[in-house]
Amino acid sequence: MAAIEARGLSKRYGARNALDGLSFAAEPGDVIGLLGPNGAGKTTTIRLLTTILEPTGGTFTVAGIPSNRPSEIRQRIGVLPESAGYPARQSGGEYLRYAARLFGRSRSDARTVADRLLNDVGLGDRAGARISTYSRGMKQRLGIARALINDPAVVFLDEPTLGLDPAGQREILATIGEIRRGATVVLSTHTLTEVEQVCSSVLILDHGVLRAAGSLDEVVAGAGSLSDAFLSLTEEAGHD
Amino acid sequence: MNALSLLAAVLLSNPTITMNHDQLTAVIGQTLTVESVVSSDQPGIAHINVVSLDGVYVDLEDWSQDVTQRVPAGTDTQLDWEFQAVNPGHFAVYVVLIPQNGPLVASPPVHVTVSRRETLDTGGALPVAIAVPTLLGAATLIGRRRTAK
Amino acid sequence: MTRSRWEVVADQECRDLWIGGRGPVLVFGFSVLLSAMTYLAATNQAMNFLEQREAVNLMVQVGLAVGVLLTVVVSADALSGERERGTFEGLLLTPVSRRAIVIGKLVAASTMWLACLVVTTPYLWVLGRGVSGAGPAALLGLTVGTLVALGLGGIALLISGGTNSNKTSLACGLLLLLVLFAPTQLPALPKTGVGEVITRINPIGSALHYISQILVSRRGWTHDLSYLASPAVIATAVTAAVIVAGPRLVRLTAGLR
Repeated sequence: MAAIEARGLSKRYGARNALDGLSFAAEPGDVIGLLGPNGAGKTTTIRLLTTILEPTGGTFTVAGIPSNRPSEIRQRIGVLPESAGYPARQSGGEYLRYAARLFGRSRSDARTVADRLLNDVGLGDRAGARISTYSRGMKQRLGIARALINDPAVVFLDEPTLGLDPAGQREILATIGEIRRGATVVLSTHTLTEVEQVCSSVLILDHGVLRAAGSLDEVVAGAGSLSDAFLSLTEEAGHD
Repeated sequence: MNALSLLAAVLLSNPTITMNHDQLTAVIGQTLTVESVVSSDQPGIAHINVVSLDGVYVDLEDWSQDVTQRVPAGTDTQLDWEFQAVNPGHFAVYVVLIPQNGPLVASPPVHVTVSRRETLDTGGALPVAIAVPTLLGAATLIGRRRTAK
Repeated sequence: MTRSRWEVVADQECRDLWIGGRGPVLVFGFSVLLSAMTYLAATNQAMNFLEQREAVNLMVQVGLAVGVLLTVVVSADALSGERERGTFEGLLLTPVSRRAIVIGKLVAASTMWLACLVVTTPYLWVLGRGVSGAGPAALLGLTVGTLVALGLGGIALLISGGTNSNKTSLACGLLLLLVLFAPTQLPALPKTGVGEVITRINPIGSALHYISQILVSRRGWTHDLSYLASPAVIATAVTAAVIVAGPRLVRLTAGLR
């Protein structure tokens, strides 16, 4: 059973196609890089697959659950959104405990899993501090912990290293690698080196259309490097 | 005409109203009830009035909401009048009957003496006016300090 | 044992409101206002019995007005505020139903109303001593005021769901209150034909009229009960709308599917 399967997935806003006929499949345990220039449709893809937006065409399944059962899909996925906001007055621990309870855990179970995840992401000693006192990197780590609060089968990470310095980026990628526990990961990013470091396969989007899909070797074949492949695929459309 | 007047006088005997109290005392704000018995051969409307004997302005609506009652013709009718003493001083409360035909008939007055009572003063209000915001302010500060830690 | 999901939402929203949030500050400000009013009334040596009854009536009206205002302020922030702060997506990414989110937020906003009512009670007790006013006044505030607060708080929540800007939803909520309050300040309004209709359909106008008929004019509770029709109908209709249509308003971006 595929972890993710999309068939002709589309999202239209009036005359504009944010996503047009996306079809792909991901196997359990895959780490898929979702690449594309700004406005390519990466975040739209993630929001469709995570049931935040409704598609105007096509179907998909996530963790084997069809798109007409969005609440069940949300039970089985974890998401770190691109522009995730955090309640400033809550502590990191309170934030995770609340998330856990929304996923159906009891108060005591929620406390246990929140403490474990905070330790896993290196925030164990800051659990009681307000999120407003966290650095950007700490907030991203908190977001990763939040994405894993329900032991998800599929994790979506939308620009998880955005705004971080190189050390912070490395730390985030390492954290993801350590704690994902075999979940399928969809990593949306601008940073090609991230994809080369952690991903087993790649999807390249441009103007809402899928330009390439496959393993890194398949996509890079002939182009020399992922960067060259990316530029040639996205420049073909003649965007400025 | 004379015979008719004589006949009317014989047939229509004068209505009477009696009250069950001569005088009453009350504290301001107290609700009182007086009973009146109206004897009238013809239907009419009974109306209660309150007059200040101290020259103070009396708004009848403040004393009572139900100031009129219908009186059927025939046997004695008992009417209860409930009113609240909203002004201090000396008052006369009486009932007037407006019969279908003939002159008005008034009851004897009930003399009502209403004494003052100071129920609201700064001494009583000040503790509440200070305590409530103080408690809430303290609770707010404590709550903020706890979450700031 | 896990609780129903709307209870989890309501529980956290209440914590965010009351522990380190805006709730205690708002209620503290409210109590300062009531203290000033009560103290001024108490220093008025010339206040007679009737005026004391009217003072109780005024306190209930202020309690209702400000309580409803604060409830609207909290409700108007419920959905649009989360969108602005960027925390909404995280909530939408849970398996909690959209309906449970809306209900939980409405319940939490209602606690602001209940808090205002509780704070008003000691002041009513002080002002109502001797005029037998405190008990009926508090009960009136609870029953009539709850209908008004639920109705208008629910409307503010629906407005919040339909906008992406917190400023817009707050402005709309306050404008709504202003439009409903303004006619109540015209003294002769209830007695004329058109004026009476306006009072009856206005949930705030009819509630205040009903309350003053009982507290000042000493009518019975069943006298003029029809004046409660507007608050009751609006509270019922809005609650139904929140439950039925609320889920459609709980989207990441208002107006976008």
